[in-house]
Amino acid sequence: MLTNIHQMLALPKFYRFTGKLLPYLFVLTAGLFCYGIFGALFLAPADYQQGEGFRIIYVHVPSAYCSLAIYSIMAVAALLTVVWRIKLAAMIMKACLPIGALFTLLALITGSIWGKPMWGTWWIWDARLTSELILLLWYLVVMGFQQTVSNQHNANLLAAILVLIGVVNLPIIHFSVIWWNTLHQGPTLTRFAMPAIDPQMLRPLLVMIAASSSYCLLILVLKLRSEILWQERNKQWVRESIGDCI
Amino acid sequence: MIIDQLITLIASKHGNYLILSYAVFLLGLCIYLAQSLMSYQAMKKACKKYLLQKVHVQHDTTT
Repeated sequence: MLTNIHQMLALPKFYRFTGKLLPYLFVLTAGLFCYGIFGALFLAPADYQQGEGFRIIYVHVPSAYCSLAIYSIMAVAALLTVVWRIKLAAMIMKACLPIGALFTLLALITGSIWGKPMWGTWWIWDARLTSELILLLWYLVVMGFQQTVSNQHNANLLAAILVLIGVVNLPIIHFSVIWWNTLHQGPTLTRFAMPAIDPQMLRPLLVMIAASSSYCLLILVLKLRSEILWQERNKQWVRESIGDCI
Repeated sequence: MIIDQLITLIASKHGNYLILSYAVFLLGLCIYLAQSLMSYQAMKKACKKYLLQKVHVQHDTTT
């Protein structure tokens, strides 16, 4: 089992495997987005209180979900970097940073656009909104620190420690709507025992979440392949993979 | 049919906010995907160039 995991984490194998995976990921992401957006705009019924404006949920919730999911993946990668110094884990952590920052920014912007017609304001210093903003700032802080340290090994270690410190914010974001009296609505998706959303509305939402997750994976694979190529450029397998004409 | 439904959506009470949020979301994702693809291709080219230079240097030193 451990040998299999070790072989999977070997960079040449990982590079070849992701090369085969890329076209399928493209098709899957495009297909899921097409179906998800169609379902969000045309299949799901309008909300009885918010009307058509509620459909912003289909771009806001997947963005917020991805912002937290990517940070969780990054935290696991950071732990692997600090404890076992796994090269691929450090690369995953580095590649996740801008993707997570993008989705956090999108969650904040789409949430703000939703807030204006529903709450009457673009922004309020509500617990959920503020903790999500802190998450975006933390992504930027880690990215900044990683780029300022010239030594690659030290930069990865510093970034990993910062990522692990930032994990404290994840439960705060998730439970902020329960712990504090906020303007932001309560949890919708985590209540599987008693869903707070109609199945007709839920289906496109789940498809959009799957589409966004697939998109994250696609970008992550592209970034990882770039990073692997550059870091391993002196190795024989890189020459065999991309330098056939040399 | 779909076009009619889309026009109805845009013309609805909060249609402008709805379209704005979808535009921001999709544009953000498309721009970032394009940027990632371009940097991936650029990295491939840079690696090829590096390997070519290395081959030339090795050839020069041996001759």
